[in-house]
Amino acid sequence: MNVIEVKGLVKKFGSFRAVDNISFEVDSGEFFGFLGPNGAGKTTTINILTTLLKPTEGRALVAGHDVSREKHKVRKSIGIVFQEGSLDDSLTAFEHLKFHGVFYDVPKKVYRARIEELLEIVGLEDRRNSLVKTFSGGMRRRLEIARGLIHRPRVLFLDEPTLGLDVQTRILVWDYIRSLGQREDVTIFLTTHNMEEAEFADRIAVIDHGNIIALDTPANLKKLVGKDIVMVQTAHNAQAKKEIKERWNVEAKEIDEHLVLEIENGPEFTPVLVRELSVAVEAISTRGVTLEDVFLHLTGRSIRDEGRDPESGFQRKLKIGR
Amino acid sequence: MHFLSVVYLIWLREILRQWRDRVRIFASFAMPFLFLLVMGRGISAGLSAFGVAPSFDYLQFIFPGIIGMTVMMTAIYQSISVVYDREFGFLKEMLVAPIPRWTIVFGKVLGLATLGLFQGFIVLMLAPLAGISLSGELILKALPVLMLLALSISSFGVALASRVKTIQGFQAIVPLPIVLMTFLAGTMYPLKNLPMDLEILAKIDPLTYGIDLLRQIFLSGTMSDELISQVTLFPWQLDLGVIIGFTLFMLAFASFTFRED
Ligand SMILES: Nc1ncnc2c1ncn2[C@@H]1O[C@H](COP(=O)(O)OP(=O)(O)OP(=O)(O)O)[C@@H](O)[C@H]1O
Ligand SMILES: [Mg+2]
Repeated sequence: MNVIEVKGLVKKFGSFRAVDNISFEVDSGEFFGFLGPNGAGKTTTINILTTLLKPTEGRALVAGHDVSREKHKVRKSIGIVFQEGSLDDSLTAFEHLKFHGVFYDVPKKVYRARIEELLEIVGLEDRRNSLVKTFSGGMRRRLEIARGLIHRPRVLFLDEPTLGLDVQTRILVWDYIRSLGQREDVTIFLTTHNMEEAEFADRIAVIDHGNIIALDTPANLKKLVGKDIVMVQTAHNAQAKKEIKERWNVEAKEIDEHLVLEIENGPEFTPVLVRELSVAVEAISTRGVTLEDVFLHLTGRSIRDEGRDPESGFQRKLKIGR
Repeated sequence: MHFLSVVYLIWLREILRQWRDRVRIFASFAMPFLFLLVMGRGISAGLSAFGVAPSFDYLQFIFPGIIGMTVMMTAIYQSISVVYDREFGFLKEMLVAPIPRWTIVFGKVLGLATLGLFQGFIVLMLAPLAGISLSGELILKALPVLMLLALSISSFGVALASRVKTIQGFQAIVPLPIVLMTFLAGTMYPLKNLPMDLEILAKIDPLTYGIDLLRQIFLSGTMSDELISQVTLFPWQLDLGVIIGFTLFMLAFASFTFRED
């Protein structure tokens, strides 16, 4: 059964099409990933699916309810961890979790128990009664994740949830979210530019400039690319690129100082390449395909090329007054 | 039941926010003193220097105005919390939750009104400084009026704040209604012998009716009826009716501005 159905969805800001006619379905219990660079339209899509934004055109059903016409029913079936801060500095961690429990009409006994469980998972037990204004960026993020899990929604939207988390917490959080997906049949809709995170997904939609340019399992997406990736840096990249094209008929892509090649058998190819190029090879390496390469293959650009450093993604606005 | 607990929590949040901010607590106690002891006494002393000292105690006359103004200013200023919630993202947490919009509006309005009423109460306790003796009866009569005033102005503030999207914008716009309402309402002078245009505006200003009513309540023990009728405008029934009507209208208006689109 489909728990999310999107058909011909368009969102315009003025004449700019932030989401440009996308359609997809997400199955109940599925872990669905939305992978794309900054400004691709991920958050805009989530805002529409969570009733915060009105679509310009098209239709979206979440848990069987229309997101523009049955907002209340949609809201009852979803949970969300926002990409940008959504905490109140003047409340404590515990108060945030409790407020959330009451907003979602979770019985007191249940939310009390979950608060304990989640505070431990995100490592905030001993800061439960501290005001959020005393929290670091990572602690805020952890609290927001815990809050999103207080009620057990049918669909959980996670908008770049683990950006800025340290590795340990990231692993703990992911173990918990995935076990939740299995135990409670929660559908997870994740946006990310983090490749390791995207690997967990059952299926991934690659989105760019408001369009879905590929949608498949991570394994199938990787098959779109050749078997291995060879990265080579030479004294004269443009010349090397030309020779590679002429000699092996392979289109090399230039990323930063490197040429990136998609090759059937990387380990055997590298010595040949070093031998036969007329320009000096300064560095060379080969590895298996990642989702990053898939993105590069599909768009000709690196997903990390544009915009900000992903780790600084939720640096808060400077706090004033209050 | 569920919705009532939601309204309660949203109300509680406004109170906690105020309570946990020391600067705000200090300001909330200091402002009323300033109004009364500096502005009230200053103006009344200044008048006598002109040789136009009125036939009644000016400090007594201005006191109800100061209470009304305090409640109004607090309620409007505090409604900036709606803009903060938008700017810092907590509004999203509320908007995406399965709670009707009116619970957010009512929780906010009740919270802001409580803060306004609290300020009004502090000023009320200062009445003896203005030469008005406090009685149980006076307090019982004054509090409901202050509450209505606080509710209506908070609703106005929430409606205003729901339209203004930035903190800077709100801070720029908010002195306009405050100054307009304060000076049109006869806070510091009797609304007599006004030019036509001002008189019409004064009658539109809802604060006029609130202060008129407060004045009748506060002065009934200290001034002669004749003197009171000289410095007030309408029968108390009319004042009360207008304030209740205005409160209901403003509550509905605030809910309307927050509706789903
Ligand atoms: N309220 C708005 N008004 C105008 N343009 C907007 C608005 N919100 C988003 N956009 C534009 O829509 C595009 C998509 O934005 P969106 O936030 O959905 O990107 P994203 O995929 O979530 O990116 P990121 O990885 O940086 O979070 C961007 O070009 C952005 O500038
Ligand atoms: Mg985003």
